[in-house]
Amino acid sequence: MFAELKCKTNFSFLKGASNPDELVHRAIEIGLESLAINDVNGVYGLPKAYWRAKEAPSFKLITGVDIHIQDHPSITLLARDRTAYGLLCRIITAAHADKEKGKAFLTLEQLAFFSSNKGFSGLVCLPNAKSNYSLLKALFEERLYIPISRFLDGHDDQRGTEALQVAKDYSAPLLATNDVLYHVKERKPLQDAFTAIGAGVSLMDAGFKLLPNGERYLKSPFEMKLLFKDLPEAIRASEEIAESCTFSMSELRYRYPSEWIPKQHTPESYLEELALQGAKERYKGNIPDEVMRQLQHEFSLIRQLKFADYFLTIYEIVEFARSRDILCQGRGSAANSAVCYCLGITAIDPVRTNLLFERFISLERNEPPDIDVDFEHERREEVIQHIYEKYGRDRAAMVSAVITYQKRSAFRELSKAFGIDVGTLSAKKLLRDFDELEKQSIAPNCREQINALAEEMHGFPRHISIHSGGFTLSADPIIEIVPVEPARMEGRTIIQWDKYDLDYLGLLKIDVLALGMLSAIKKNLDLVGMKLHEIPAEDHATYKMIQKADTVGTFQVESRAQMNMSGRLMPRTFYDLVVQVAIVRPGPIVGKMVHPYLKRKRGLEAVTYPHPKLREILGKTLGIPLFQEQLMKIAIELGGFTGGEADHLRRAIGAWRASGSIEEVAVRLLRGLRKNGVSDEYSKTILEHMKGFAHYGFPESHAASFALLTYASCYLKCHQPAEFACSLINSQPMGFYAPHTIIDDAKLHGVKVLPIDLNQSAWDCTMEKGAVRLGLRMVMGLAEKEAAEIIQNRPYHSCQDFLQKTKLRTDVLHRLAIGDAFQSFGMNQRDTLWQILSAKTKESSNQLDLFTGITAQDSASFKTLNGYEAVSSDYAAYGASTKAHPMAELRKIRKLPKLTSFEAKRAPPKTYIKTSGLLLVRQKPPTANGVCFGAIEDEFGFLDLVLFQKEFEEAREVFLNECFLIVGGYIERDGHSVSMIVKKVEAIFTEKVQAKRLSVEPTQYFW
Amino acid sequence: MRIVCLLFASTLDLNPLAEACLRFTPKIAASSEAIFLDISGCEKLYSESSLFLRIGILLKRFQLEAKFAIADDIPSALAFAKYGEKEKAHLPIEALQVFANPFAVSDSLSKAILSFRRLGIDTIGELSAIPRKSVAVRFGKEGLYAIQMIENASHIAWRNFTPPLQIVEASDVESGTVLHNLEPLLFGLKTLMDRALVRLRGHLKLATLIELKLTQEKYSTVKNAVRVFRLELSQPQGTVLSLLPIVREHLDRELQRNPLEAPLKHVEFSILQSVSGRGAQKDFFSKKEEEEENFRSIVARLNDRLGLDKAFFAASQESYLPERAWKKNAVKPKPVQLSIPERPLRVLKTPKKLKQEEDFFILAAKRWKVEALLGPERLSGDWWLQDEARDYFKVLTESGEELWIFSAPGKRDYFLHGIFD
Repeated sequence: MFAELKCKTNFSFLKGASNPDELVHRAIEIGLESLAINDVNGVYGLPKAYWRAKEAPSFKLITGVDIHIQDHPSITLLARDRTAYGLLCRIITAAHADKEKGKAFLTLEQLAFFSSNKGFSGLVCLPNAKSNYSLLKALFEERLYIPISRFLDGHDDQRGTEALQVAKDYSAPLLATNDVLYHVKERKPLQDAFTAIGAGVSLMDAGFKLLPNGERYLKSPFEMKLLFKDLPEAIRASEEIAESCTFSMSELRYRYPSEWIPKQHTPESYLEELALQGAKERYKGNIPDEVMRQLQHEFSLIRQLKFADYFLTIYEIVEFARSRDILCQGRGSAANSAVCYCLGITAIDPVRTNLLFERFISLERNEPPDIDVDFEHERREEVIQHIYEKYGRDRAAMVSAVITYQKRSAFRELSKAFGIDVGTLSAKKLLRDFDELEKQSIAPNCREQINALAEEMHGFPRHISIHSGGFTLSADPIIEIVPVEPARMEGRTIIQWDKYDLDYLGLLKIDVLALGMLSAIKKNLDLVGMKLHEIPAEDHATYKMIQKADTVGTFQVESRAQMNMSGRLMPRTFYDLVVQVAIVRPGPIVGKMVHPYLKRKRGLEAVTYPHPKLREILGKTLGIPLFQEQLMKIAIELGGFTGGEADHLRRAIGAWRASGSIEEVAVRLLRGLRKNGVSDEYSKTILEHMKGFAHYGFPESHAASFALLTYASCYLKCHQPAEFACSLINSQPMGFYAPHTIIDDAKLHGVKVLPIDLNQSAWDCTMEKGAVRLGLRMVMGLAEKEAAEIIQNRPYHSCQDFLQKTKLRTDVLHRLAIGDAFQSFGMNQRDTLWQILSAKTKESSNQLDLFTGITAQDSASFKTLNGYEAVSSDYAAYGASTKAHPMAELRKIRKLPKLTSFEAKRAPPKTYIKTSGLLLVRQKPPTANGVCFGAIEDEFGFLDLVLFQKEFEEAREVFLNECFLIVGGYIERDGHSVSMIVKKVEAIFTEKVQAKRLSVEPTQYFW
Repeated sequence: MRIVCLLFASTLDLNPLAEACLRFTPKIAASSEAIFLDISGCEKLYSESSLFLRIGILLKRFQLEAKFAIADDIPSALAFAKYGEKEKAHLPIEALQVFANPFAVSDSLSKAILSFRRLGIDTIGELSAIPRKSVAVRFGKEGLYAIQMIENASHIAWRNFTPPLQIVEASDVESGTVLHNLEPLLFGLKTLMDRALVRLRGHLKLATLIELKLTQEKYSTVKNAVRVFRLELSQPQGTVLSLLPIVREHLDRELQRNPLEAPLKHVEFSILQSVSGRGAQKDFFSKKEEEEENFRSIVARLNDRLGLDKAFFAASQESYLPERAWKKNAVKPKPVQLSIPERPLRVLKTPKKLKQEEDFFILAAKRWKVEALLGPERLSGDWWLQDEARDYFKVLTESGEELWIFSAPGKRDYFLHGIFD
């Protein structure tokens, strides 16, 4: 039977208008027994095709590639067996090596070089027209086939004649193919749109770049036989090739790297030994029975699923980090595993916290678990380099991330194809102004046509990028499993598959993630000479601080929303923190779990359990399910699910939001609940909560892991505020707040902050007799090596001395001058700048100096800076000021409302007040129905702002463009949390001249 | 000096307004954002306040908005308009840029201005705090020049505005009788046109819009003594030989419809618009230029007679569909090689439905016996315009004619769309 051997998916990027699974599904549907996928310079789409092909055991997926050759038409290569597939991956890797992204190619010489490799005899070559046939014949011998296609485009005769001639001249068999670009002919418009997008022209101007007709679809064996009824041998050739190709992606079973495992051990025995040894340390030599039971349960599952090597690999990486004193901690569902806890990968005891192991690994799922480990963000590179070094670049590579078209981005791209000048309009603005813009296009029903295509294009790959930390490792060369290509980031290589592809194929993936807070905590601990585990648990003062929402700079509970929650939830225990970390997420908010929980927590509502079994499951969260694990437990205990089925339910809920319809599995849950005597009303409430879980939410294990860091950061802030601020600034950029807020907050806590000094400051901020000395790293534009130059040439006795000893750039010198870094020489900002201006110009233009006869000693007198100007100067130099808060100085020179944030927060509820401040945060979450949140800050602290849609629209211009604001509104209180319902917003600076204004960019999260 | 500055918010084509301002003073200068009027010595003609009123009216007629200010030199006038100040000393330090170059928008002094701000020098007046001898060494030659210009702004060179080129040639006519024949008029007109076109050639330009003004004796029976004929030339013209036939035909047609009613008194020929044309020297050894002019003349005559829509150049464009495979072009296109299957030379504007009888295709009285049907060539058409797909066939007929026919895929209704020659 005919087999289609030339077919591109949308992973050929703008060439190919169907998903791999659509093509495979269609192939099966129309009775094709085999289909080859050969994307341009890659095997990106193969795992997805394989996943779909698994559904039809008799269907054969053939692997191939359309490889670009320099100064030569591209050729299609098909792999007959595993060895040939390995070589194919090597060839693709070579084509990408040292090339720009998207410009991969091979030379004919390279191809010839590969012919001596093992596996070359398993490669079939299908050249395009006008190839160097004699060379290809010499290389591929009887495996060279001449493709012949009939596209009904008026060139069939000419193409056919040429193909016949070539076949005759080189004694190569003809091969019938439709060189497929999409699964059904209805995708031709999308293919045309891609062509226009790729060429950067509109469809109307694309001309012959487009296909004349839609014939390049996946044709059935019957259609192809009819089309080539005069050339039955060409059809037969496709059958022959398909039969000879025996390779299946399922053969890609790889071995975990395990050469470092002691010889007397199997991976399983070694893992068990290490875990038990770790358990002894964790439980101080006395492993509780329940922990032992849990460990045995996990060992048995790990043994059955053969995941021991995987755990050991992660253990090795974590051990390396520990040996280098790099702080790290596992996050995510790995925290559900007692083995991970005992190996030191995670820090949460899952037995003590009653976490569900099936959330991590399940027999039914039979997929490698996902272990994500956070490392100090500044030192993660050391870990990555260790992995490359230990396993080699041919055995370790980073996983790619496929960036896909979303509906809006697809709409924007398609608008361009329809001849609409979208310019720099964002996708959102484009949609808003589309009625006017669509007049530019000559196409009728433009919006409908674009919408229909955007719908099809949604989820199509746009490009591949580097995953934030995903690594894949193998005992065998990785480039024989999947091609590796350079990432945009220098020194990084990525594989052509993403984490889902690895899941499909059952391959290993580890996430080596970077977490800024780990760096900050580590630096803080080093400054005070502590270890993480030495932080005392359940410290009363720490919780008091959190309750007061005094958490600027801490982990997870520092955002305005979290601070607001602190005042309402009033955490008193570690588990309260776990809840708080998890509760301010779209999942619990949309699932309407927040208010019931808060009411129960504050004793305003009775804690009830609609079923006795729910007491055990939901007891910790006062009868409200806040975590996915709880839902899974409900499914197991009351819905009659197995652990694996419950995990399937979790995944189905995740997909629910995208599909919009409830999965069968959820219906089964409801049936199970009813059977177990749960009332319909409560079942409906559970459904409501499930809806919420379809949005982003934390699993309990993840929240617990994060809460540990939250607690640690809060403890350090509470007891060592100076060191905490110092470490936090030294770990920038990270977190929610800019350094100026961290400095002002530290000052509010009595910390003395010393300015930058050329004779004292190091690169980082340092501790100086209990005070924080700002480091040179804060000076905008100053490179670390320039700072090293400053430090190396110390001491300096005068400005002139400094200028003579260093060779800094003019802009940096100016910033040092206006940032008051020369004050220890008794010079103010303006005098210093005056001197620098002269010195630098003289240096760059001696001739001018001779001509004018000016010396650097000439003097001028300048106005002394007022307080506001001095603070502004500091901000312009290093984005913060040690002198004062800008609002404190503004009050002296402007007429501002007398009420400060401190007084505003003490005003009775519903009082209308007017105050002023520096806008720090603007937030407009998608779930807030047009409500915008903000926070202003003055020298006394923060004040939260809430702008309802009407007020936001009225104040939009000022609120979005100004940072110094006067706000008027009503005070609202909820527990310790105070906010202002804003009615009026004014700008403090009304004059148009920008030059004298201090501008501070607020943190902004807008949707 | 008294300089008025009109400053506009965005960059516009200010030439028409500058031209209109010539009524106030012959000394006009324009930049991309401003128009300057030197009104020194005009105090006897109008007061400054009345001038501002008249400028306001003028701006309204042009539907423009501008800030305006008056000062003793160009940069001061511009700076006053820009910053809304009336004293040089109060101008913000950013005005230094204006003094450095009032005719161009630039930020070459931005670094110096930032440094001045940082030094606490916020206005032009505060610059006096800086010893002049210290300026060059710190702010470079440009900074020094800008500061010097504050004191010596009247030394800035004036860039006189020149209105776009318009050539007018005129002469009085002593005919005494009403013209019934164009020849005597054309005889005189030819001289005027020749002079005008020679002048135009001096500017290396070709005419695209001309105007002919015929002034008749003011008889009581004449309603419009002045008859104006304006000709937009589809092809630019540069010689009297090419232009005269166009004018002749145009006048002939117009005067037949509306004859002159009185003897001619005055004839005026103007070239209102022109485009860059050719080298200053005519090539006497090649006929190419002459041939091109003749060709352009014919096209322009056809356009004038039939309209722009009826006579045009056809250029091929990339489209699979025959009806969209060409487009109207204003200029002669260059030949291109297209890689599409063979197309018939003659394509019907509207495809004709063919009748079928056994081996015959029939259209009206014409019958073709089909010998072979080659194809199909399937064309989807422009789906975004909701085109239907067509299957095209080449029909070899017994008579030797080769037809190009199509049907909808899978249908048996055929349409004749072209004939191969």
